[in-house]
Amino acid sequence: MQDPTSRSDSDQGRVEVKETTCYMCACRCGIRVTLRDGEIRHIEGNPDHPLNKGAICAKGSSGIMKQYSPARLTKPLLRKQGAERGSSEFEEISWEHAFELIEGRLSKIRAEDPKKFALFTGRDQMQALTGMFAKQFGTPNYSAHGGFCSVNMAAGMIYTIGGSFWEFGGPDLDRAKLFIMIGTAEDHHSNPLKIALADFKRRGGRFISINPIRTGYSAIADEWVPIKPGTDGALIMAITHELIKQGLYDRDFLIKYTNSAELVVDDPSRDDHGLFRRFEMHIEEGCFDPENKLWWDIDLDREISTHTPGVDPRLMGEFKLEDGTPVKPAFQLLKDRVEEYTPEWAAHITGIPADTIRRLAHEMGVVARDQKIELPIQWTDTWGNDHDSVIGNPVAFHAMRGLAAHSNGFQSIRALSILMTLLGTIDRPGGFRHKAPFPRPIPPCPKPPNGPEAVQPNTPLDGMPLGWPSKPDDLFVDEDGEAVRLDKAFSWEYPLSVHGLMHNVITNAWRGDPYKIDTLLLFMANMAWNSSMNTENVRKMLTDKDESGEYKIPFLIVADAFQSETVAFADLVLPDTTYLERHDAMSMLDRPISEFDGPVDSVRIPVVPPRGDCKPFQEVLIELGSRLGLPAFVKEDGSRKFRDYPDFIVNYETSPGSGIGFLAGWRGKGGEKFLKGDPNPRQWEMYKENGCFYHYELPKSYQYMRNWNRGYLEWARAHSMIRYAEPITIHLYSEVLQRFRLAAQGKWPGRIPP
Amino acid sequence: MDTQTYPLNALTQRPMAMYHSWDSQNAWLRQIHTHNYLFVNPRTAEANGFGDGDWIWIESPINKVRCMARFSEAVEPGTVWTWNAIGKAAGSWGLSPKANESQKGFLLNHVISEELPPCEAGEHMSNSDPVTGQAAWFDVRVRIYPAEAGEPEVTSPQFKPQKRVPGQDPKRGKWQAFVAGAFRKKAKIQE
Ligand code: SF4
Repeated sequence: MQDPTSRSDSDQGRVEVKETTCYMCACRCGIRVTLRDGEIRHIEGNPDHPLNKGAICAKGSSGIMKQYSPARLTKPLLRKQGAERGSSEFEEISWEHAFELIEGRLSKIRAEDPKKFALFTGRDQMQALTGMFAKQFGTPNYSAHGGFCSVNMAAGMIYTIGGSFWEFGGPDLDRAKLFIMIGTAEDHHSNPLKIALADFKRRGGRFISINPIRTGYSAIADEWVPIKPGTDGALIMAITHELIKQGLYDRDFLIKYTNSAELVVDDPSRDDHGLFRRFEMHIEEGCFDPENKLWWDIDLDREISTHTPGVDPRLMGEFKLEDGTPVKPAFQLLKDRVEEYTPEWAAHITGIPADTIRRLAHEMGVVARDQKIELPIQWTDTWGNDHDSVIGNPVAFHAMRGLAAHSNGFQSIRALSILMTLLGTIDRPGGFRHKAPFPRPIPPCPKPPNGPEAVQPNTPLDGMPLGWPSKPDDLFVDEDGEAVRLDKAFSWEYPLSVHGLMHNVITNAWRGDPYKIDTLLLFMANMAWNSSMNTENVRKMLTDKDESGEYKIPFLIVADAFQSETVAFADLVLPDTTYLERHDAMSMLDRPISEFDGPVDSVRIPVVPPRGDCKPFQEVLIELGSRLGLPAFVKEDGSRKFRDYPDFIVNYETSPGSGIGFLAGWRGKGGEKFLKGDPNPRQWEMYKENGCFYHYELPKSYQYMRNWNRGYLEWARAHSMIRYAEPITIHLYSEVLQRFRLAAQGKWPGRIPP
Repeated sequence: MDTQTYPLNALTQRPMAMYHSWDSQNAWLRQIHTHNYLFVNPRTAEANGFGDGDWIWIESPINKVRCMARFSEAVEPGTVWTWNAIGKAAGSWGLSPKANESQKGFLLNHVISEELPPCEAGEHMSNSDPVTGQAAWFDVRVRIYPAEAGEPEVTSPQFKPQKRVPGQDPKRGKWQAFVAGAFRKKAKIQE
């Protein structure tokens, strides 16, 4: 080793510093890589980057050792003829040979039955591209790892408040006074959360950690509340019970911004039981929650249209509409529901003493009520009312897989979202704040296809492989009510499986339930080890054969940069590059790195050339898309449309002339436009000159209350983040779930379960 | 679920120094973790008859795993837990088949089923949230007990060591004491 104090790198060779984005975890910090003579010397955090502000963690700085890892795959490999699958006996082949093999196999599948090709990906950061490839191919059998990761966090929150933790929103620790973290270890976010927590503690904020285990961030918590796993929902319901009992909820917030005061039909004998009472109104067809609902006016003591100026509605009580229909405000239903969930009841389930639960509830409620923040920021709501300031109740929460990875996770997370709502903390200072492209309508507009006819030979899938059902009729099932997808997502069994069920793909394909497939392509997903449940048996399924001696899963392609356990089971191995060897786009069409104050996207730009014959997986998809003639990847005459992935990123538009593409920065012919504009041939260079990220700061008046902020919603619609500028009323009560319950009872006018 | 026979919850977490399975190949990060323990509250360990560092079995209704236990006060007594994906299959990730990752490291996934036992809802229901299909990793229940005297001091299950593939570095090399540029020059590699 050389002594850095006596000999400098630049005495010995050409030193360069290149900027790109880390991928040693999913957090995506900006990094600076120092090279000497073209080889990596060390990696530091980029101080100008909005996400990590120069911070780097142990993983990030160890990226160099990943680059030179002995586990690197460097050649396309084909299982040797005669060798058993799983024996790791391979021969090197050329990329041309590999592409010919895949093209031959996939073009036949696509012409016969596209769903026999399944594409599932692990912790990749290109889901907009992989999802688009699957759709273009025509297979519904696509998802990333979300189903076995934290889909409940996304679904539970998005179906309630129109946004969720991590990329799409988070705790505003800059202004919070009380911070409660539930079921999170060292988790998303990583560096940004560490920075924010350090500042929060320095300013005297109080940090409570609720978790069966005290590790990670909990190490610096002021109070650790140990809880039995899977009982978070009970704790949250009991806290809600206390808040309602003590009147420690933000009544004004609930009335204006949530469906708490809206009247729900309350008569179990009726077919519309549990649905909002809606009046006749001309409504433009669209995926938003129309404002044709009712409040109960305190003064007039009768029903009145919601948001009628000057009206103060009831949150509690039971009433009869003029036509005799019995109704209750949604808030009353919540109150009824939590009536029995006392702290004593929850103490028994959670292992947390009832007094502690009462104290936690009281502390949350009192901090929210008595330590209000008022920022002198003017804004206008969707009903046309001007506000002189933005109010905040400084209680912030963060939660992740600890709540999510349970069979009751969706409901627990909905309960948490409701608690955050009762405290009046949604998109307000010191509470939870959204990040673009969220908030989105509840649920967001894209839907999965709703029948088997969406899958046709040589045709793109009619719909997105993944979407957001809002009613039973959006399920992806056939006439008999059976699942169309291999993983049975969007079926009656798992209706809101918005990220798919990757953890059941191998078992279902092996069993041939609901059907057999031909080719399974796994991208950086270690399904023969830590990404599967029941791993020992899943490994057997991968090598199991039918009576005729054929593998039950006939062809397995594995794309990865490293010799993972799964590689041993591949028939064909495609060597991917590392993150330091490729272009990548962390896109607004996907999961960007936005800040509370506005959209941010970022890129990776290679700092070293690929090792051996490695090829970025994106290039594999663009090549295959072109060879297979998938419409998005070829011109009208069938010839190739994009030279390579960088060319695709620059020139792809969501629809011809839309001006919306993968990257939001430096659009327009000369890079003069942002968010929307013509493709810019120099876009990559401009990202490179700007530290590989683009940050758009919204005007202050658009930074808060975005669910109901007219200026923000119109801006977001103009930039294609949402399709409607209608208010995104918080679903304290979920009518979406009630539609499925009614279907189960045979009362839904549309689809009902078999 | 028979919570008398399987009284404990078992969880996994991701450590700060590694991201899922990605980093066992990383010479620097391997200095932090090359294997994992099952963390157990001392009260729970005492009740089950084993000590700090002992070899134990974790058993669920579908499978069992042998591993080492480590005492920790930072976990509520009804829960045991471990770092996820530090344990590796022998020979994978460019590691020697004798590396700690496979001999002392373990994967909890073997005891977590991807499907529920047959029930009135069906024979092959996913072990998931019935609303969203979210994998219910953290619903698993286990019991723990000491390994017999004389049992081998390696984790179980073990798999036939995975062979290196063509194109992979034949062995771990000098790169562990890596100095940028030096090898290129020595090997007379031109830009
Ligand atoms: S936290 Fe940031 S620096 Fe650390 S591994 Fe993740 S992306 Fe890289």
